[in-house]
Amino acid sequence: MSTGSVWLGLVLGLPSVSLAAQTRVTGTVAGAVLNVRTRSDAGTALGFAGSVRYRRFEFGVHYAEGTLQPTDPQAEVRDLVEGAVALRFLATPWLTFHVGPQARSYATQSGTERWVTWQAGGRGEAAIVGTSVRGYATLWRALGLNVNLSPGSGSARGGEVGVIVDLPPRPFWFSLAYGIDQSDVPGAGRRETVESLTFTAGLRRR
Amino acid sequence: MRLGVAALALLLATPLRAQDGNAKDVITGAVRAYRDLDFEVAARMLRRALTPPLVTGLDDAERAQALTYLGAAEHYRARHDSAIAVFRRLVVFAPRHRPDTLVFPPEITRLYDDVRRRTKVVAIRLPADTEFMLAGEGRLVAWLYPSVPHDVTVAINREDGRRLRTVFTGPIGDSLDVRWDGRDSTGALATGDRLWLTVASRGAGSEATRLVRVPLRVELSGADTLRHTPPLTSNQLLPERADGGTGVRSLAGGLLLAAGALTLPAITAPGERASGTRFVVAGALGVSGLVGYLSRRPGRPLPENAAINRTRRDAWRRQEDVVTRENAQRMRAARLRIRSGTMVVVERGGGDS
Repeated sequence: MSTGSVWLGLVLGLPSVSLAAQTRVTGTVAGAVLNVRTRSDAGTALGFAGSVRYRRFEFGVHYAEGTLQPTDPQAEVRDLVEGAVALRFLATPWLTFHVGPQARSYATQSGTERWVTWQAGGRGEAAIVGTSVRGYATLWRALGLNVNLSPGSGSARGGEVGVIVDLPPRPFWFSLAYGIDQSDVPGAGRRETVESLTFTAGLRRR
Repeated sequence: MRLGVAALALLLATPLRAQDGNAKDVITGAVRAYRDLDFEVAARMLRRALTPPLVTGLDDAERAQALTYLGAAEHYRARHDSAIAVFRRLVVFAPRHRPDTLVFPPEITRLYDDVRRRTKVVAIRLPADTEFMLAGEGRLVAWLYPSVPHDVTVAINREDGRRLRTVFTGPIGDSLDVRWDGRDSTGALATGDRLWLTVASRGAGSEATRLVRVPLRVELSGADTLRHTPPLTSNQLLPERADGGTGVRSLAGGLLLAAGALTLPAITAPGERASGTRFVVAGALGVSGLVGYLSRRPGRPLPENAAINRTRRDAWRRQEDVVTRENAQRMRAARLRIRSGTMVVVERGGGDS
């Protein structure tokens, strides 16, 4: 939980300092509810996300934690904690590229399994109803994957499709997104697929 | 032999030197000849003094003196028309000049006054260089001296004769000073290389009989103004009403992304059996597309585009206001420099009366 507190401080602190310092900096803060599913378990997680943008560059963070209940009653309950940091480049108003690490850990009584991926990907965005309702699709691929339990590294890829609803001129926005990623460590015979349905509500500073 | 050559050179040089003597010496000689009643010699010498290159060595007073003696000499040579022509030339050149009554007899001064009364012209005196701040009360001041009281129009013209501003219209008596603030009739600055201060003297009718013009060069210094923001073009503004493709694009975008949500597991996790949660997002995107299609039928207003355009126009207007204010401030601190040239008299062919 101490890690979570650090992340929380970072997310809430960064936008406020930067926004006050420079008016051209825009940013968002948001809370999120996630429905997470893997092959063996599913559960709900709570989290938050934030970003600050300066000209064509955006720095984003994301954090969530929750509990996954196993579908097999004999299996252990897992605590899920995930966080990500990304540096994004806005090539055009509708196309963004990003790079950054994502860490996901599953804690059980027998130990903690930690998956760290370095992602690089792109996101396309399209207006559907004016500029108030927009859809987006993200695809990424791992530049590197490390798992602490199994020796060696592997590959990972994933994506997310979602819809964002803005409420101009108010600063509120909402989004609903479906994401799926698959990590594969062939040497250890491990493959992890995670699906998520995320509802996010946030504030945007223009 | 060498002495002989030197003596010959001296003999040849002496008359040449006498012939090419400076203009003042020639006038002195002419006045002496006039006093000796040798009017023909006096007239010949004076004409030579008043012709280039000698005339360039005379100042205004000396030229006026030479013209006076020449007019008098022509009169005494019984060349009445020549005398009148010379005196008219004198009036045009120096409207305020009067022959010295201690030197010239009444018949000469009467003749001169008669010519002066019939020759309406104005002399302009201008500082060669005038500089003033636009924000202050500074002006270009021109002093006008007429040959006789008459009506004049004082104006600032372009080189092509187009009038920029009328500075004064009315009668001029003994003298008149007119002021010009460097602006045209609309209040804009009249800068340029070739402007003319023009004084038109009017005869008995309303026609100008003679123009006196002084070239002006007007420069603005210290007014490095900002460039105005170019107005927004149609490319920079969004359409404020839906066209035939707007709704279709919304529907296509929504459906395409919905299809993306449905096929995402096959792309990123092939062979994996995905849950049904993706249908929630696919449904939301599909419904959004449909809403977009129905609400964006051709001709319908697009309020979000109108709002964006309004914001852009407001931003442009704010920027333009800033530039306008800044430029006005810079212009207040700017200085106008007006340099004047040599006066030119243009006869218009109208008869003096």
